[in-house]
Amino acid sequence: MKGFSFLSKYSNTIHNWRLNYSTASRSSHYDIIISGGGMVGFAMACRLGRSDCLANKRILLLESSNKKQLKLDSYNLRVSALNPGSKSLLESLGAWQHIEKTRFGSVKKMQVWDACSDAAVTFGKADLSEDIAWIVENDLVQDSLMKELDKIEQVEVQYKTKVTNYRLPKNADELVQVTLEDGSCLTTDLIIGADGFNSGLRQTIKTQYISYDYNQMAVVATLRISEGDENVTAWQRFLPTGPIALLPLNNEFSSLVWSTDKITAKSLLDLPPDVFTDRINQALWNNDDRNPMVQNVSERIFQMLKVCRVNSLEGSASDIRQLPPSVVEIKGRQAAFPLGLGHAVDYISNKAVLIGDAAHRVHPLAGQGVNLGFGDVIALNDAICEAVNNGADHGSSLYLKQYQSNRQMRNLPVMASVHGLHLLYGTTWTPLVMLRSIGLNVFDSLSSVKSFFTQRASV
Amino acid sequence: MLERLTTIVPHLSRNVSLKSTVNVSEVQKFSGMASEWWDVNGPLKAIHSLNKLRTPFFEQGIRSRQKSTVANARQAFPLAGFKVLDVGCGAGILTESLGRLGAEVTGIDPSEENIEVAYRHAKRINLRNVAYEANTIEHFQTCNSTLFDAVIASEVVEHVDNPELFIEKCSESLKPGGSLFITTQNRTAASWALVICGAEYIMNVVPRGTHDWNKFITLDEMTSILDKNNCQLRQLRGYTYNPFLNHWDWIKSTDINYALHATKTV
Repeated sequence: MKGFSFLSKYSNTIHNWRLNYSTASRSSHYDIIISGGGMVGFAMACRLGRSDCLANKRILLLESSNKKQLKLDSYNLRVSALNPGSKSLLESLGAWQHIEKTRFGSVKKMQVWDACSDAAVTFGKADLSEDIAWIVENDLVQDSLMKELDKIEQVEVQYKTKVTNYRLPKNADELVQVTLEDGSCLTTDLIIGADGFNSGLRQTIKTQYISYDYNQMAVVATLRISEGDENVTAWQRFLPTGPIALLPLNNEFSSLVWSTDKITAKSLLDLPPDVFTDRINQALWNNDDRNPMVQNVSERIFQMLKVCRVNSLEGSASDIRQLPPSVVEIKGRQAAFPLGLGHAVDYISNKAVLIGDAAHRVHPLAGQGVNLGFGDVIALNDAICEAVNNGADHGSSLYLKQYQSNRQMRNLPVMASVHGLHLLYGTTWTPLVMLRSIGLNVFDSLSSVKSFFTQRASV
Repeated sequence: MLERLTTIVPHLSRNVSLKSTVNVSEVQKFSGMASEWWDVNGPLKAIHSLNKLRTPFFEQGIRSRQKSTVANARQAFPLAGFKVLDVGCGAGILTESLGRLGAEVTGIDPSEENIEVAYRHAKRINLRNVAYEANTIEHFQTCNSTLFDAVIASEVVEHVDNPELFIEKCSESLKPGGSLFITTQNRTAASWALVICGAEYIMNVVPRGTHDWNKFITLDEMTSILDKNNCQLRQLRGYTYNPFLNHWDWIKSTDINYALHATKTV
């Protein structure tokens, strides 16, 4: 810099590009802080830590609870149905290898049917040659991500650390201040809220949060089933009180997710194992809710569609309509968690951004919750990397905006359709039952339309 | 611009002792301006979003002509080892972007206020590899012996009084083989309708009177100036602004805005 020596006022003689300007000598400063170490928070940390363009950034993940120890003696009750997009994210992060070595259930076929009629829809290849989703315990997903995160040097994780306050800057060149329970204060250029549906960061952002309480709970349990050979089908039956789903864990066990009103859920929780097992079988098999008129019409249409489809080229799983397995016994105890719908109008603020359930919460009936969250992870990482590659501040609101519009464009339709399905199947009113049954049968017979929807739901 | 020179040079000598005599009202004044310059949603938001388009253009352009002197420059610092001059840098919106990419950037601007804001901002965010100077290109070029790998005049030539001299001095600051980048507005009917009527009067994207259409330089004029200065045109692209999305895009037509990359003949 010899030539600049006369610029005493404005030139800065310290020039060393290797020195990371934003991390130098500020130990309580991090380039990025992620609040919340759930599946989505850990995936975010891994994804950012693996991005070459962020190689010189210091990243911190804050989690309020203890480090979770993975228990493999029994199946964890909370499971996720990962779509191909989520699986490829986990693969790229190296986490899928751990899951593969441990355990997961492949879904090669999905069958969804209406308790009020026989209308059903199936997804997947007829010869069961292709996996369409993967059932993995949430704890295992998280543990696998944690293992990979340990290998990434520039990402630090602090457990048992509660955030008591976030202070967001008014100007773009100020920093976010994060106050912890012990009174210490951290600063960051970008705070990412992965702190779940009760997100503290969302409350700080003061965005409008549109929420809806389903007044429902999901009862979960691990079930031993009487499946003859391969257990590779995910079953979901829409009851007027809510959907009941069996998700395959392995050939012997399936995971139950039974959404129902709170009172029923509480009574189900108190039932002894054998009675609870009977209730599940009833919910899967009984015909009490059946509407004979709809049944009749629906069957005729079904026959008609079959005739029309003679020339159909694609062999689809809908050709073979299976009967659901019956449940032999429940392993361990049943548990329940509340269900709700929520959507933050803004995912972003000055140097702050929400991902996963902090931004959007959906009914589990389509298994989209964590998949939307992982989609956020990919999109936010892309936006941050684009900012860095363009020489912008990695917390630049120009790029965060890009993330927000990308994700809202994707998340809102999914949320609306999931909520719509919930409303559509929450009724026993004959005209609606008729309409949805016919609709479902027609939908099932149109393989191209169906594969379009499957694809839309898988990225 | 030459007129301004005389008023600036005495300031420069005075500035040497300014470092320790910053008074509070000055700081407040500059902080106020800084928030305007650096507000990505403020009056200069179009310039901020232009960075998305122009920074990769400059970065790739520089790297396409020369190899970095820094061995294994990491992906995070693709411009490490390059000396870049940002002429008419304003408060450093582009200068900082180039600095973050690793370049050793000098930003010059005739407005002392702009440079003050730029300097404070870079200092505040602890960006060390950018330097600023309140100066004109002609004076800077005469006083300064350093030659640059790249000289960038982005959205500047349409504001200067003597573009021939301006580009000549830009070119003289370049190393042989170095890259000259210019982004500016074309003087066509289309640019008059869009930039003056559209941007300034209808959409209020930029303050009225920001641009003087008569000062815009046509492509023909530009290429002849480049020729005179031994600069060979390497790349020419048109671009346009969508005020509804605050987004810039490359387009085929160079009638409204054009970005060019030329290299100084060895």
